[in-house]
Amino acid sequence: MSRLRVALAKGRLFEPSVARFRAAGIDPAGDAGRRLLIPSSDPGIEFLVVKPADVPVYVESGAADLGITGTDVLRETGADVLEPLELGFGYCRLVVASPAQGRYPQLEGGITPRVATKYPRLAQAHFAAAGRPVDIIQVNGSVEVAPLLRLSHWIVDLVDTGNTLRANGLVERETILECGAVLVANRASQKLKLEAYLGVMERLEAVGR
Amino acid sequence: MLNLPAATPPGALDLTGDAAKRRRALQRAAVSVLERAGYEELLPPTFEYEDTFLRAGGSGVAERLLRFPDRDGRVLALRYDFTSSVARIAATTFTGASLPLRLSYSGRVYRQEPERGGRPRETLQVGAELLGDGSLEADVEVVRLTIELIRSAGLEDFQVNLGHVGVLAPGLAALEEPVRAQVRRWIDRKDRGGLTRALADRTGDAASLLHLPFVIGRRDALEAALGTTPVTAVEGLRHLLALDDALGPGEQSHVVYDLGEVRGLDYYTGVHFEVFVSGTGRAAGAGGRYDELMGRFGRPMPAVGVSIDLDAIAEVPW
Repeated sequence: MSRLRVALAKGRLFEPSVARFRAAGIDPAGDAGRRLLIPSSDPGIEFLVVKPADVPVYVESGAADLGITGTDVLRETGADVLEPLELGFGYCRLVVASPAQGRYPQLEGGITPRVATKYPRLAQAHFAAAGRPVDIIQVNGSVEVAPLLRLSHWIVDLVDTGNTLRANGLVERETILECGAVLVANRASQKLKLEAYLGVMERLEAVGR
Repeated sequence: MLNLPAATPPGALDLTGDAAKRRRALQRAAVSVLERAGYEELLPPTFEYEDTFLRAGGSGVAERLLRFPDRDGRVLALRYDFTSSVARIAATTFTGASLPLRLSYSGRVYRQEPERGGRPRETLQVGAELLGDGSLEADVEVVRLTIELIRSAGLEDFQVNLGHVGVLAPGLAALEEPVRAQVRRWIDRKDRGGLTRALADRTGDAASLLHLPFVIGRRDALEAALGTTPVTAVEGLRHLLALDDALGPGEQSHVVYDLGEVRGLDYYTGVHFEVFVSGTGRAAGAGGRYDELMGRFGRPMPAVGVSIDLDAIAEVPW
């Protein structure tokens, strides 16, 4: 039987992803630590731990056969992969937020809004679809302080509880995307390693119900 | 300034050494397979009016053409695929020739890639078109030829995933837009959860989409599916079974029947397939029957063909 390599994302999805595989009887051997490749209790499966934004890249290219990622990252990268299973955790929303005091959706004096985000493609597509010109600025972290520092007028960012937004004087204005964790698979390896793929799918589905 | 190296555009390839040798060897082997099979080689132009590629009707072509204006302002495009040019030539130059036509090609095709990283925008292909023969035997001939082309690369660990557009068509036809587009997306992603929620209270042909897209396997998988297939879709399944009957054991071992592919549904009109070679993360070839193609060039006739991506094959360790 062919070996499957599963890409897991560091960060907020890591623990629930590992828990799901554990429940399915696939236990990562030892702690992730600094190792890149981690064997598991199942000789047919090994794990690879990468940055969240890289999971779709690894899976699309075939460097990993399977992966767990958020639909936010997946839609932003536009990776061409299979999405056979919603995992039921990691829920959040990608939203447009702006200062509670400021005007929305128009700024005073016809100024074109600047929007800071880690999701330039999704943000661009959202405003373009509504025919609303904006100036998108890509940042890689601390998005919610951008309006305070006058980097941007608005932000597009992920929201879970909304506490971070409120703490920075921001208000949620529109939801762009409801997100959650999904299992993704490489299109070629789903065909070439079908039996192994179906076996893992069955085990993950069984513990998800 | 003159001492700086000259820049290359993203996605342009310099192939040297073993990379060049391997490709040339693969191309020679494939071309000789096509010659022996009686497929006459054409050398179509590297650029055409963009209309030629758009007219052929493949999905997503408009977004992926590499275009430039001609001196008179008309828009030219680099060769997106060979099939469009071969169809145009077959509809004009070959009007007097007796049917069927067996035509082949090898060379590079040019396609835009998304603007992330510098993925190659040119690909080395070889392929064949069998024009003017709508029979099962013609389908079998092209599937056989496909297997032979991959074998000519010295590879044995590969499979041809074969489907038929007639299998999912009745189920999809029973849905109304925009549900149909969403259902196609779920089938394409193999998202059984999404499909189940959308189709839970459907009956009749639409309900067949809950299981048919997940049918994948050898002959027995098709036979098992016969019992649960809408009457209108049975013909497609029987066609695949008849095709299987015509293949020898050494060919059957490379064929996997896969009813879940929806990407070619607007282009193909009968059997369609993709080739997967162990060691690559993407399809290394594709083909099928497109009986509407030649009509778009003014000379309606059945057509079936295959193209193989030699760059994908060259990446496989051998």
